[in-house]
Amino acid sequence: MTPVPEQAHRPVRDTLVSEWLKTGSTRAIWFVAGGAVLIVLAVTALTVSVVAVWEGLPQERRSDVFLTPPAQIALLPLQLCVGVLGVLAFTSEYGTGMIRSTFAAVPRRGTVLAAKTLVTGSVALVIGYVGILVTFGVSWWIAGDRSLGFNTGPPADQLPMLLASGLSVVVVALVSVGLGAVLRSTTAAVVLLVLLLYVLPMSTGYLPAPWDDRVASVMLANLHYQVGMDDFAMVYFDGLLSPPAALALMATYVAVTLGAAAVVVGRRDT
Amino acid sequence: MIEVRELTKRYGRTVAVDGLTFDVRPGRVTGFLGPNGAGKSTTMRVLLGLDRPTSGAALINGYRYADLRRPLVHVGALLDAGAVDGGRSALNHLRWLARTNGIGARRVASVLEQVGLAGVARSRVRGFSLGMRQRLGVAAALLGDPAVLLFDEPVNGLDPDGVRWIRELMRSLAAEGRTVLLSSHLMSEMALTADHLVIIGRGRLIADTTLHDLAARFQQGVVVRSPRSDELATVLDAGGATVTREADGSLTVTGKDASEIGDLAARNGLPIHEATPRGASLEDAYMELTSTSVDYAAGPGAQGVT
Repeated sequence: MTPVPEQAHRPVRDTLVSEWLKTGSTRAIWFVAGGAVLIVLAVTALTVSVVAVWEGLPQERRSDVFLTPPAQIALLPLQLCVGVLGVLAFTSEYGTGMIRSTFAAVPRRGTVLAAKTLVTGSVALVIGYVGILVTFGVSWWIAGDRSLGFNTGPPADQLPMLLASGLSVVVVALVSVGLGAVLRSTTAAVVLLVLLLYVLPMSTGYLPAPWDDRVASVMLANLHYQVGMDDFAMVYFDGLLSPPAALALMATYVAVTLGAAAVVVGRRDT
Repeated sequence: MIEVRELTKRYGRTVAVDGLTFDVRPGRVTGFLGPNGAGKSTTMRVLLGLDRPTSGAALINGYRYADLRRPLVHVGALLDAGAVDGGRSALNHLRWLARTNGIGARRVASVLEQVGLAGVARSRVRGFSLGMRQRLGVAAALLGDPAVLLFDEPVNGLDPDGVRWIRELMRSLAAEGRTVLLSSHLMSEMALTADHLVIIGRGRLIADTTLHDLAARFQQGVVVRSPRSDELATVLDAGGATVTREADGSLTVTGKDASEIGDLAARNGLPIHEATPRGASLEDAYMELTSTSVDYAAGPGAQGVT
């Protein structure tokens, strides 16, 4: 038996690089990146069309034009994009059975979970911040000195909200890794993710006051408003959570799902 | 070297493996044989640290799998050739796997060469035939040049060329001094590939034997015909064989094989018209062994043995 030529072995780092190779060699990553580009383009097109409407209006009616901040319009689709990527980190391997090769190669399953989390989180960080900041920059540039409702005040005032929005994309990605690891099924995890990000926050409106605002304020999809101290948050959630409290709740969402994943993945037979 | 010690694995109320003990030694191909559902795959998953044993232990070179630092360098396994992401190329599949254990790119290229996939290394696995997937699975198992190899039903669904390739590969790996455990539910395949057999049924050990001994155990004597059968019977009897006279005038001889009977007859100047060893085929032997285990397990008093 000939000795295997090897590089110096550092289990954690090697697993991380391995997960990076895995992510880079699937089409999912390109679908997600392509999806993010399409989202930015679509929101930009929307901004352009609103500008056209504004141009077509008589002077006195132009102040009625109001567009939700384009970066906020882009946020949910971006979250869903990286969410699917996060879910697939584990479900794609459980679906094919490849997870057995992974765990046979790296028996410390916590290391695998950590590596997948880190890789997905990094990708989400790039996609989230690039998507949000590009959408923001392009929409403000297109609007120019026309007042479209979202571009009042100096652009720098938007920074906390932009940072919080990008962060929320990362948070959704990490939560999704946990959901995928626990549920093992892509369909189940994506359904739960949509429920968490879209359906549940929408449903809080049916609750009697003051529970509608209270429950809405702790929804994953609403935390970034409160972290970024958006006016919207002040109006709708009545400033229920302070920015640090909302940030802590974001961290709790991540800790609970990844914690559950660590326990379940570590114990489960595959 | 693989050591399985009093291994028990339950899934809920189902007992998949029940107090199983056996060793797999290096330098030979050990067939792991049993009907579907006998517990072969479960045992292999426990060996690879994928499933936790309910009790007992499965050790590889004296270690629990989970305690191996670079497991692929010690153990290579092919469980299910279909368990790859079809969207990835063969090369990329092996790359990520190699990287987990710090195995370099040169080794990846060399195993691809070894299994004959170098030409399609950059093609997506989705387009691979079952035979090509099996080859990729073998390449993955060989990545770390491990001393212990586990193959779960590697010839299932292969064409004759593929079957022969796997068979020769197993034999050459064993000849290099490696420990090779090969599971199958087909005795016919084992008869051609394995040196040693571990047969299980319903999670229990039925036989741990060499192929030769198994054949011998089911040997049912030699049928001998001679025009002077009475004299021959006397000679064989005196020579220490047990002779039974059959109604058709033939003799059934046990305790001596056909060549010994022929030599003895020649020395005494007795003609022999036929000497046919009569034995169960390995296939029959296997069927008998496993059906016995099933009957036993289903019968009264089969439970409660601890």
